[in-house]
Amino acid sequence: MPRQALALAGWVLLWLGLEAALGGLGLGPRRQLAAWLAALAAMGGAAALAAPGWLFRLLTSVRFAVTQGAFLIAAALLGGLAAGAGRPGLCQGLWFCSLLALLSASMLAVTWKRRPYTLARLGFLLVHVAPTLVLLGALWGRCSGTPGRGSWLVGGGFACLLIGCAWMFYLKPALKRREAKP
Amino acid sequence: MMAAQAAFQIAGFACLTVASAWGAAALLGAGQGRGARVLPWTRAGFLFLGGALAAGALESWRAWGQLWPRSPRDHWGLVAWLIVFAVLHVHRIKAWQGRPALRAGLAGWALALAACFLLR
Repeated sequence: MPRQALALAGWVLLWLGLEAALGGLGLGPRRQLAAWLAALAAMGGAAALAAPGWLFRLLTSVRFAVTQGAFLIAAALLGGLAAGAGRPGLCQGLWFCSLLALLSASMLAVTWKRRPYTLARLGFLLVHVAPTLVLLGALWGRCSGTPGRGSWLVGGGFACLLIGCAWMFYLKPALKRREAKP
Repeated sequence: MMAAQAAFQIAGFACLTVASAWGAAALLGAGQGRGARVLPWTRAGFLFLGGALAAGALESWRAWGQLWPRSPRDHWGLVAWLIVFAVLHVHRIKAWQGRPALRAGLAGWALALAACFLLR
């Protein structure tokens, strides 16, 4: 767990440095976003080629998910406190998007691990795909320059989250109980 | 939509409060089987807080054309949802099941309450 926390701290520092370098080059927000996406794809591709087993184990580890959650909570707390102090936008930086992208990659890897897909796993799949849909929708809106553009993706993501939770927590156990009755 | 968001958030915190009460009872040793009641209430809280997030995102899009939460209520609601996300996953780690997970749940509940009602 401490190693994972250190790795995540390195991940955040890396993207903070890249964001500062991109800002120093005088690139506009949309070009910064394009450069971020390209760097993210290059890094993800390189890691997947160099150590696929290690990367898959890391991304599908529950401990890593908890560590990511703790980092996101700390980042959002800092962002909220900064906004309260009159400095909004801390959580809209590329470094925060990088944490969200890593969380989405983890969720997709876990979804991939749960194959073969059955009706019993529908809720789990919906819940774990939902954050990626929300992130993609938000990025689409940001890339296109029209903030509300990816709203159907975001709406779909939230719908997946709620339906998936309801299925996983309530409907599936209720069906199991009914099947178990003599 | 704002009313729905507030209702979902209050319902979510109510569920988390019940979960924390059962967790505290289990930690204090007040009867067997109290710990088993924590998870269902935490899950219900996660579902309601997710509903509040969805309602907040829709409201944000309608009002400002942006999906990222701008109001403090949305932002701290997101923090609370992330806390419950972490707590639910802590319950999945075998080495932490039992008292450590109950303690993490109580700490998360206190942090979420502080974030949503004191800091905003």
